[in-house]
Amino acid sequence: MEYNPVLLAESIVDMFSGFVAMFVSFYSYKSYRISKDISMIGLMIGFAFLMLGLVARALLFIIAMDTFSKPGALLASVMLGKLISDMSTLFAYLLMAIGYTFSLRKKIIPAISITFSKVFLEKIISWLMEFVSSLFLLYIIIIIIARYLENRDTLTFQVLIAFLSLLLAHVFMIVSVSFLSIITYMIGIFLRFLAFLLFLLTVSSVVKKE
Amino acid sequence: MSSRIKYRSRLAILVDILEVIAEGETKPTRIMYGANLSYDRLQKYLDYLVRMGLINEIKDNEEVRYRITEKGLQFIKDARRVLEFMRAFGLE
Repeated sequence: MEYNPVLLAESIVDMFSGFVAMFVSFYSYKSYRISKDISMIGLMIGFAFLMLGLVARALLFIIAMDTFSKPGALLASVMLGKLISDMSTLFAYLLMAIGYTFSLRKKIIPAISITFSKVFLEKIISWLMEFVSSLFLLYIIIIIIARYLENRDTLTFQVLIAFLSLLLAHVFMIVSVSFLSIITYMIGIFLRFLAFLLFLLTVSSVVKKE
Repeated sequence: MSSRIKYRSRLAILVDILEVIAEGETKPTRIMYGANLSYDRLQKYLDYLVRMGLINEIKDNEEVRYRITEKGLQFIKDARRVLEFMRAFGLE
């Protein structure tokens, strides 16, 4: 059985990222129990959605590579995995953005509208989801930059770089979907890996502190 | 002198109060100045902390003092980590 190296690399990164997302989500839950701060719920559910999407996609990719021999069936399965993951990511960033908004003591109601095209439906949906996710991420990043300028905390800077890497990963994904470029796709995967590695380092250093 | 008012979360206020009480049996006025709170707000927080079993109220004649419990000491440790986590993620 020969595995597609790109899909295999992505599945491994997704599994690792999913594990980190679960760790952050669990720690957010623990923090919520102590702080009773509603913004922690946004972070907790947001990272839980990220984990679901990442793990579901990784599993679907692995199953697709293992089960299907026809290229069409493989492609359909990969697209389904990507759709599930994109939906989860979108919900994740939306919930996190709402959580961050609560931390500002203001309320917003984000509005999302999706237009469809019969010709390049999959491509447009994928592009739109990446784009809307990027907008939510950008919103989160702006709040974190403001907080970092206020407290100059090393860990806040680490989280800021992690979210920036995630945003860049989305930008590279948009480019790869638009121009069908495998190199930008791989760079996107690497940036996502880097982002979750930074999340892991941040939460680990908080947990270790006495 | 800076004119900016730093917002303190509810958890940060609870930790500030507990840290003052952790220094030893403490009178409300000492806690009020140590945690930088008005008397009314302090009373609400103290009632909550007593209800949660994080501090004990000791009444000696007319005087009221507060003493931290084991649970309260553990709470300070946990809450410091949570505050660090929230600060790291730009939520505090």
